[in-house]
Amino acid sequence: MATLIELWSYDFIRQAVFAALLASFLCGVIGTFVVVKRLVFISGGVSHAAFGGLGVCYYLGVEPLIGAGVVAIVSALLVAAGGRRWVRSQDAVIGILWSVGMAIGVVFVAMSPGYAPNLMTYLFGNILTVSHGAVLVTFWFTLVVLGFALLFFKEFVAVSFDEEFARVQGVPVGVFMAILMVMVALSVVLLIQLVGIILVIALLTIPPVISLMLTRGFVSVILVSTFIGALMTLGGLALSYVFDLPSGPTMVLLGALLMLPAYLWQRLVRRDFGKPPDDLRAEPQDLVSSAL
Amino acid sequence: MTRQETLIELRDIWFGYERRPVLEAVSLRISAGDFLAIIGPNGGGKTTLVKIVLGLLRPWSGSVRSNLSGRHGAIGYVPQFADFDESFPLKVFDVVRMGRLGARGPRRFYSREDNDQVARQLERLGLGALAGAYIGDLSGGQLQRTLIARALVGQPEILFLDEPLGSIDPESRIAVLEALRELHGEIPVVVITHDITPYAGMVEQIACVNRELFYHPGSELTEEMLEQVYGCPVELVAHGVPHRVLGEHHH
Repeated sequence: MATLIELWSYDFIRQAVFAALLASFLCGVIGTFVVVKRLVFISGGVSHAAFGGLGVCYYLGVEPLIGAGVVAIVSALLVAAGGRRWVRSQDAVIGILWSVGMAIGVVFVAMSPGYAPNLMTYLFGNILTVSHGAVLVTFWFTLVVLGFALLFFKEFVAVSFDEEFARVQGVPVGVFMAILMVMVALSVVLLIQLVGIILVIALLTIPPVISLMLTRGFVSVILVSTFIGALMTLGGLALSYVFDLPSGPTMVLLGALLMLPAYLWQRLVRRDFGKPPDDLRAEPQDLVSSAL
Repeated sequence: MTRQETLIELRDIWFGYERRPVLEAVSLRISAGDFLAIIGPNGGGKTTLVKIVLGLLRPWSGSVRSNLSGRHGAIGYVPQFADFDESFPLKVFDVVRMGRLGARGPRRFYSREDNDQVARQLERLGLGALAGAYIGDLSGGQLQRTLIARALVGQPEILFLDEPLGSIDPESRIAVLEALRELHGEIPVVVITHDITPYAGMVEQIACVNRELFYHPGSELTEEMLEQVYGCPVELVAHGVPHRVLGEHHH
């Protein structure tokens, strides 16, 4: 216990814990939309493309996360907007963004004078090096995301479930998709600090996937994946400290391990999934007899 | 509103995907009292035509004129249920209430009236007991009825249904047909189908779509007409229903 309190007195530990908690809200809200709207591959492409912007800014001596953010937003909007026009090759477009972004990033980091010790940090993340400024930015961004999600919850759910019907109902689908893509892009960039470019997709997918195994209402899926996200990031942080492991991969592996009991619970305990309860199954028969 | 008043008029619509034309010079008028069946082969452009009327697709050329009120939700649309992600974490009630998004206007939250309307349409389609069920637990027919209820809660002035009887259980089939029979007369109904026999006694107009559109005022479907559309002789088969919609034919 004494060591815990001692740890808490370190500024970088407190910041890491705050960053992990903020990240779990992004896992919960943005991750749930990413999973149910099937934006996982787009998010992967966006995070890797962002490395291009990161590398360029690194070379120019500007804050790398600014470059990553700009490139992430632009590529997310490009893929989302182009998705309708190049339906057949959307995944090819994502694949190209993915690899070209990485290539640009690596080339510019290589061209930068001197040794590039931060490269591994961006690829695999290190929650302990998250700056005070970055935590503040993440805090405000998380507040904005939660605000949008609360205010336009119905529209976001409707657009995710059935874009065409939402459009017929007069919902500005394009605007909401653009807002969603920008939020995904910025979440990806902020989560990069924690787990890095290569593992960021785990933070957006594993918590909602586990959550969908345990619960099924949209709101409860968001709440449970926020909790799972906190378990992953804080638990990963603690384990990485105890076993002296890199924090990003430890978080991801902890999440992967958590999927197993969740899957078993879904299979063995909640066997009613996929079957209507008995009283519901009896209902249509009454309908027949009343109609005949 | 008289039964003859034109609600929607398509004039000389041309449309295609990429450069391949799907609809050529299609004109169609839907009036207030219509029960229109749109039939035709797969890939003939039936769903495309409806999506143009809904404003989901913009035609290459031609005009769509509407005399509907223009409020959101004025057009009710029931897509094919098979296209839905069954694992989506929503309850029947939530899905149906999405049909109030347009009617709700700028209000952020649903009102008592919205909830009442949802409950009413759920009852109408025999889904009262399923309001709290997750859509992943529904049969195809129950999901189909949910989507019809979703279209009706917006109090539409016209209703479009895409294959509403496609592979659904007999119980749901009865409930859907019952609801359509009730709606017929209240609002015009347009149904995309490959088989008009279940709609016997309801269908008043038939449009055959296979790139071009052949319009028939009346529920009589002739072999000549089908030959025109499908491009080969087609044999008409009646499925032992009490009301025959098919004209007498001899071989």
